[in-house]
Amino acid sequence: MNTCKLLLTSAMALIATQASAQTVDVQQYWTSASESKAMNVIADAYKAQGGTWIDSPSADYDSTIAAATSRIVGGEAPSAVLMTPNGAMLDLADAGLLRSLNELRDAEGWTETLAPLILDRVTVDGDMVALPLGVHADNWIWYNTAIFEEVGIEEPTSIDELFAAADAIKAAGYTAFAVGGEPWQEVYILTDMILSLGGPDYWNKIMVERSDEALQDPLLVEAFELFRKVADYTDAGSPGRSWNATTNMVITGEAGMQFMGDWAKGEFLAAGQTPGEEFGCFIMPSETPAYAAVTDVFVFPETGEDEQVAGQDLLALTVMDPEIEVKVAAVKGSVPARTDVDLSGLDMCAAKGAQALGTPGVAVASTYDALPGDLNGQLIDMATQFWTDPDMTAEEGAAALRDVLAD
Amino acid sequence: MTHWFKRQMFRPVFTVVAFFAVIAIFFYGSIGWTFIMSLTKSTLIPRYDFVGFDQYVELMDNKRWIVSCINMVVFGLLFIIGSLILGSILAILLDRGIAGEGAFRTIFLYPLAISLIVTGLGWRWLLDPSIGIQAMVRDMGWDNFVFDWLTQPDRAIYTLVIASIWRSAGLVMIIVLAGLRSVDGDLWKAIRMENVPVWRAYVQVIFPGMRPVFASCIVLLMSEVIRGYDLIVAMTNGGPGISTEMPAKFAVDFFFARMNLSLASAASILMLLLSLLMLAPYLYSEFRRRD
Amino acid sequence: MSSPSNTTTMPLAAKIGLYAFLIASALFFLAPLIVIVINSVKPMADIRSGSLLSLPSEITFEPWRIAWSSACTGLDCSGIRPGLMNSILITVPSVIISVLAGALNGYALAQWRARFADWLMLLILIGLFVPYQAMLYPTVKMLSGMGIFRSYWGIIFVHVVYGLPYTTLLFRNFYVGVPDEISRAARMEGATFLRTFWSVILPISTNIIVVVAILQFTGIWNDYLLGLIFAGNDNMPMTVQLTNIVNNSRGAAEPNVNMAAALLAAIPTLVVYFISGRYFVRGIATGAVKG
Repeated sequence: MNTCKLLLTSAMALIATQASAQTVDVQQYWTSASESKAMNVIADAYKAQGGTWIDSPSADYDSTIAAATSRIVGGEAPSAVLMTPNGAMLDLADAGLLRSLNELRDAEGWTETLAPLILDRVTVDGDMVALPLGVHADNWIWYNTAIFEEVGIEEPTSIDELFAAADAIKAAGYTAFAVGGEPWQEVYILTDMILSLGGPDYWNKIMVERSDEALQDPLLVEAFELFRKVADYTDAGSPGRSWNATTNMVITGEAGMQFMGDWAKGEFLAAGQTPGEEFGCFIMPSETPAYAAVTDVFVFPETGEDEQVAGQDLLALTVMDPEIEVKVAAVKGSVPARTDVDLSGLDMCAAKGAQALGTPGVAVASTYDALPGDLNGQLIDMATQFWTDPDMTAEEGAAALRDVLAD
Repeated sequence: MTHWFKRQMFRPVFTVVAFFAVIAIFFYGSIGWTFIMSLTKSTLIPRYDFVGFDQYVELMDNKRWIVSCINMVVFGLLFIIGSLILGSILAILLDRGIAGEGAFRTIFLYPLAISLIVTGLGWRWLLDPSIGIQAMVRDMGWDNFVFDWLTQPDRAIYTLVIASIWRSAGLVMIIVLAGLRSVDGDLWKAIRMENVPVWRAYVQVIFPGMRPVFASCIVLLMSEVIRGYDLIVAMTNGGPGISTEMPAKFAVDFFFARMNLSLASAASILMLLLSLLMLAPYLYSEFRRRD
Repeated sequence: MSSPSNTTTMPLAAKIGLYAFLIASALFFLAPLIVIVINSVKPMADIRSGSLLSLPSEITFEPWRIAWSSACTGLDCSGIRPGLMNSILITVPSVIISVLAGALNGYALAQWRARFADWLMLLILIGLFVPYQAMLYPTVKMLSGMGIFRSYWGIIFVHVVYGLPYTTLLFRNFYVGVPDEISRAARMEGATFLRTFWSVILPISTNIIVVVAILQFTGIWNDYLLGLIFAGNDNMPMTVQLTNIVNNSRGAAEPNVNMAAALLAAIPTLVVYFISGRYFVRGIATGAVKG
C-alpha cells in the first residue's frame, strides 16, 4: 500500500517535471475585460496541467500580425498566434511556417466534432493549421425592446418587415437604424443585404469562388439600393462615430436597431442589460437562413523547440476541450466551434447563433474570413465611398463591387 | 598605421563617416529592400517573384492612393504654414520674460506628450456636430450656428489641419525659442538704437538670421506630413468615405492588415520620391547659400 | 541685457494684448485636454447617456485607479503600472545616447565645410521620410544577426539609430549658426576635434540639447510599435499596456478609463517639459565668443 502510494507520488512528480517543460509564448490581442477573462479561462486550464504561459499581448489584430511576422522573420517565433482564418493564415501556411495539427486532429477526432464550415476554414491543403477558440457572426441586428414594444412591432422575419419596422420606429420619433461612421461598420450593412437576398449559395459564389457570372446578377443592384435606403433611417451624428457609441444609442433608447456583429452584446451586458429583457437580437432576416461567421483561431508557428512543441500540444488539447469551449463562449459572447457541446448554459443570443452554426448549409465565412486582407480592404473602401457619396447609383455600386471581387 | 588611424579619429571626417555608415546600413538598407519588395508580388511574407513595375501601375490606378496624394499636398501646405506662423508667434511672445512662462510653454507643448489615440478622440468629440462645439453654441441660443466640418467629406481635411497644427505648433515654438535665445545680444542693442519697430526687426533681421532653425522646423514638419498616421486614425480614420486618407495611412494599412507588402512598398518608395520633391526648394536655397 | 524688449519696458496696451493672445492660444491648446480631463473623472453612466462634454454628475477617481492598477492589458489585469519602470529604463539611456550621437554627428557635419558634407546631410535627411513599417523587416533581420533582437540593448539601439536623422538635423543646423571663431580658437590651442567638441562646443549647446532631449524624450516615451516588436517581453514599455487598454477594437469601451490612462502615461513627459525651461538660457553662445 505504502509502496503503491510512493510509486504514485513519484509518478506524479515525474509527470510534473515533464509538464514543467511545456511552454507557450502566445501573441494575442484579447485585451478588453471580457476578452481577457476568456483568455484566462484557457490559460488557467492550461497552467493547471503544468504548462507555462508567456503572454505577448498587443492592442489589435494588425499589431499582432506585425509583431508575429517580425518575430518569425527574426527567428524568435511565438508558439501560438491569435488570428482569424483569413488570408494572413493562408499566407503563413503556404510559406510552410505553420505547424500541421493533423496528428492531434486524427487522434482526437476533431473532424467529427467541429462545425463543417469551421473545419473547412482551418484546413489548408489538407493540413489543419489552426484551432478555433470560438465563433462570432457579422450579420446580427440588435434592438431596444422598449422601443419595439412602444411602437408595437415584433422581430422582423423578412427584409420588408425590417424596413416596415424601421418606418414605425422613425415615425415614433426615434432613430431607426443606429449606424456608426467607420468604414468597417458601413460595409456590414451592405454585406448583410447581399447575404440576405442571395442566401449562402450565392454568397459562396461571389465571396469564395468569386465567379464572374454570379457577380453580374442584378441582385447586387438591389442590395445596393437597400444599403442606400438604410441611410434614410440614420441620424446626423453618424459620420466618424465609433461602434460602441453607436451601440450606446440602442442601449439608451435613442435608436431602435443596429447592424453589428455579436461582440456588441458585451456593450449591452456592460451597461447592465440582459438579452431578452432590455435588448434583443436577431440574425439578419433572410429567405434562406444564413450566418456569416467570423472565427477566432490560434495558429502554431513552427518553432523547432521541443519545449514549445510540447506546450503547443497541451494548449491545443486545452483549447479544444468541450468544457473550455463552452466557458470561453459564455464569457466572450461567442459560440463554440464544436457542435457536440452542451449549449444549455448559453444566453438566448448565443443559443440562436449556435443553432445557426450547427445547421448544415447555413453558416458561411464572413467577408473578413473569406477574402484576403487586401480584397476585404478594397471592399470596405468601395462600400464607404458608396455610403458617403449619395450621387453614386446602385448600378455604379454593383459595378464597383464587381471590379473589386472579379479575379 | 595606428598613428594615422588615431589622427583620423579626431577629425570630423571620421565621425561623419562612422555615423553615416550606420545610417546607410539601416535606412538605405531598408530603402533598397523596400524597393526590391516593390518589384515583387509579396503578400504578408516577403517573396521574391519579380513582376517589374506592376505594383506602381496598380497604385496609379488606385483611387484611394490618388486621393491620398492630393490630400497630402493640401493638408501639407496648410499645416506647415499654419504651424510655422503660430509656433513663431508663440515663441516671440514667450521670449519676452512673461510671467508664467513655464506654464505656457508646457501648455503649448503638451499635445506632443499625450497619446494621440486619446487626444484625437477629444478632438472628435469637440468637432462632432451633435455633441461638440456646434451643439454647445446652439444651446447658448445661436440656433443656426453650423460647424460640422468633421462630417463633411469636402471639409473634414481641414479639421485634421486644425488638430495637426495644435499638435505641432509647440514643436516649432520650442525650436524657434531656442534659436531666439541664441541670437546675439548686441544685435538687439543695435536694433533698439536704430529704433526699428519690433515686428520689422523680426521679419527683416532676426528671422533671416535664423534660417537654419526654420529649415529644421520645415523638414521636421514635412516628415510629419509624410509619416503622420496616428492622428488621422484617431480623428477620422480616413473618412468620411476616403476623403481624409493620406499616403502614410495607405502604406501602413497595406503592410500588415491588408497583407500587400509589395503594394505598400511601392507606396513607400513613391512617398520617398514625393518627399524629395517637397524638399527640393529647401535644398536649392541651402546649396545656393553655400556658394 | 541681451533680450528683445521685455514685458517690464512694454506699454500697458501692448502688455494686455500680449497676454490676451497668449491666453487665447492657451485656451485653444487646452480645449481637448479639458474634454479629456472631465471625462476621466466621469462615471460610465454619464458617458453612456451621451453627455460627453457636460460636467460629470459626480466626480470619481475610479477610472484613474482602474487605469493605473486594474485595467486588463492582456492575460494580466494590472493597468499600466507594470510598464512604468521599463519605460524609464528604455527612455533615459536612449535619450542621452541619441543626444550625444546627434550632437557629435551634427557638429562634425557643420564643421566639415566641403560640398560633400551637404550631400551627406541630404542623404541623412531622407531617413526622416522612410515610413517605419518599411523598415521593420530589414531592421529585424539586422538586429537578429547582431543577436540583440527582442532585448533591452536592442530597443535602445533601435531608438538611437532611428532618431539619428532627426537629432543630426537639429544639431547640424544649430552649429551652422555658431560662429567659426569658437572652434578655430580651440584648434589653435591644439585641441583635437573630439576634445573641442566635448569641452568647448557641448557647453554652449544647452538650448539645442534641451530641445533635442525634449523631442527625443517625447518620441521615445510615446513609441509603441518599436517597443512592441524590438523590446522583448521583459522590457515592454508602458505604451504597449496603454495601447492595449485604449485601442481594443471589439471589447466594451470605457472612454473614462482610456482618458485617465493616457493622462497618467503623459505625466513624466509633462514634468520634463516643465522643468526643461530652467535650462533654456539666453546668450551663452555670445558670452563664449567674447570670453
